[in-house]
Amino acid sequence: MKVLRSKFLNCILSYVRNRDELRPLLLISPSALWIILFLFIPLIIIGIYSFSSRGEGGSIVFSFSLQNYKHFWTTPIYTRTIVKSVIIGIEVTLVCLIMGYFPAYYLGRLKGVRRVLLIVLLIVPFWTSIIIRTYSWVLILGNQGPINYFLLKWGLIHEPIQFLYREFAVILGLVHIMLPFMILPIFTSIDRIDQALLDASKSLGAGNVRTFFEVTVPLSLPGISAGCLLVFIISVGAFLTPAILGGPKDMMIAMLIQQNFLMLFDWPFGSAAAIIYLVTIIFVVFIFNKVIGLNKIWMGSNGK
Amino acid sequence: MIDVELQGITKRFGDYIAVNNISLGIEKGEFLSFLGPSGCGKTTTLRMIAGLEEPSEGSIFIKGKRVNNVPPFMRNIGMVFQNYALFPHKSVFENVAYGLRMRQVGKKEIRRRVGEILDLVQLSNLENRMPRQLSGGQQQRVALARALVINPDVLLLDEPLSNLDAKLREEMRVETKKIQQEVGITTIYVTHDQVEALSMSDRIVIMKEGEIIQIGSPKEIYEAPKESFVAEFIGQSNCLVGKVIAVKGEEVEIRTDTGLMISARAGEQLEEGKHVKLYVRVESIEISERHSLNSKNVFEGLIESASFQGWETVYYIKLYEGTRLVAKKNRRESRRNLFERDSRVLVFIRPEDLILMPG
Repeated sequence: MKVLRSKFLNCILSYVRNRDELRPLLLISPSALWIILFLFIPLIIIGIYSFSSRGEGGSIVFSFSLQNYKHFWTTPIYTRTIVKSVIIGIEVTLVCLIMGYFPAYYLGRLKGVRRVLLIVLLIVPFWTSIIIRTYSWVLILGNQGPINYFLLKWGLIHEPIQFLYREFAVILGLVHIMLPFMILPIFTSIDRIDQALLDASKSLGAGNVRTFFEVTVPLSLPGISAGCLLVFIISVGAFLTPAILGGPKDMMIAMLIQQNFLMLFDWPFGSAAAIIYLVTIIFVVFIFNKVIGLNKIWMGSNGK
Repeated sequence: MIDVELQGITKRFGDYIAVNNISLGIEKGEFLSFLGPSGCGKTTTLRMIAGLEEPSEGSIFIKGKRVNNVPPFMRNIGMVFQNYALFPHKSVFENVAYGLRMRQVGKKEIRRRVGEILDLVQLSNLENRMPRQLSGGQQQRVALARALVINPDVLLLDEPLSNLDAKLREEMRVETKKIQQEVGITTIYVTHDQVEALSMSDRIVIMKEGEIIQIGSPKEIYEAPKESFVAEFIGQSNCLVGKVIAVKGEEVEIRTDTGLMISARAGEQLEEGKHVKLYVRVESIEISERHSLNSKNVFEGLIESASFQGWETVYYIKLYEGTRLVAKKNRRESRRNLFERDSRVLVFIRPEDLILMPG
């Protein structure tokens, strides 16, 4: 049996080896296998669930109906949830872009030890769990938290400001977690910009500001693209942050899906919501690609 | 008329002195090269003229105006960088038009001037290409066009040919010089390649460790180096070390440390007993089987090895006293006499071909 299998495997391997165009396939096969087994197949199952209906006690009655989708689109709370998720995603992305670009630029222009040190500082937050980092905002922003305490003490306000359980807190928490995902790709593309290009621009009569917009920004577009996509996609699907820092009105799509699966035991409806979420993300990325060009992400690396 | 002037320019990076108190005037329309090994301060000097570095001391004048603290984008200079520094996200046309756009030149005028300059560098048909779609030589031309189109006061070239292969480099050397002469622009050229400097320049500035060693025409630099550094750096020479044993007017007799008696012409007064260095250019050594013309500076030797290199043949010769010499003969000179390894030969060195330096 073993001999047989290895013969079979060898046969495949030698077939692939002799065909240059198939070689990359061999290299990606472990991760491809992983993705097929644990992403695509479950996704297909979820797709099948979404057309089924809920039976007694949370069981699944296999059938084909668009009932779940219809229910989603005709219930304002649900449509609002998905729209809200996308809006929060866009807001977080924009805030991260504005707050992240200049630190990334600074890092990219920095050399030596200080740069390494700052990059380490950027990565250090990842050593702490997201739950802890998110809960710490509850302490900071709470009615008895330091911000409200000092504002009250200095007489700037007369009653505590309600920071928590509002969209503001969700965005704050998400920006806090997502910022490195914006800074790192932008930093990488800024780092790749040849100093001579900036010198050339200046020698041709462009001041620092013009040089920035004519040379630096276009050449860091691959990083901006990658950072925005990363932040947007992760933010839209955020679960912990809105669950901890958001109020009932700030329900995001991931929470809706989780509720249906784990609390309401309505797997078919939860599946439909998951599929709608997926399609929405693909749609937004598609639009983004049309406008900015996803291929810009690769442009920087191979020059094509 | 002096177009660019450096007065006592010094540049320090921390404790390191990159350029040490250099002064120099560059004539209008002149092609001047800074030549020296890497780290001699030539690029730093160029960058200071461009305004990309500020001198620690001294003044820089362009067209009579002091430009210290004037940022590069206000200096009206054209610069070609070692790796060309073409904007990868802009087409050839946009790259060349960049400087004009920054100067608020009208669209029509930009079209016309970019068209003209691309004609000059023979790239008119490629204006819509992206830089990555161009060969090295074409990129170099675009960089040159981009620097020239703005009618700069001075053209600065920072080793623009060093990234090209040997054959293309030679072509571009001629091409660049031709374009420079057509435009008639004052040009400062930085290189570590002596052939580039010798073939293109009106004057060469030899630099070493941040200081100017010699300024002169290519011919002067080659024929009358002022210091051993220049003699060793320019061309290929044999160096003999010895002592003056007799002075007869211009002619001096020298005994080398290996015991060779050799006579040379001294430019300056030399005293007996003085230690000297003698440089013999590889191409000024004559080799023959018999030599009857002159009894002076004729030495017997043995060809230790001969290396045929096409147009030239390099001979490694050991004289009977033990002195080793390298000689280069081109095909025309050696057509009759192609010497084999181990052949006995006579070596003749003209006294006036010897470069004498105090040791």
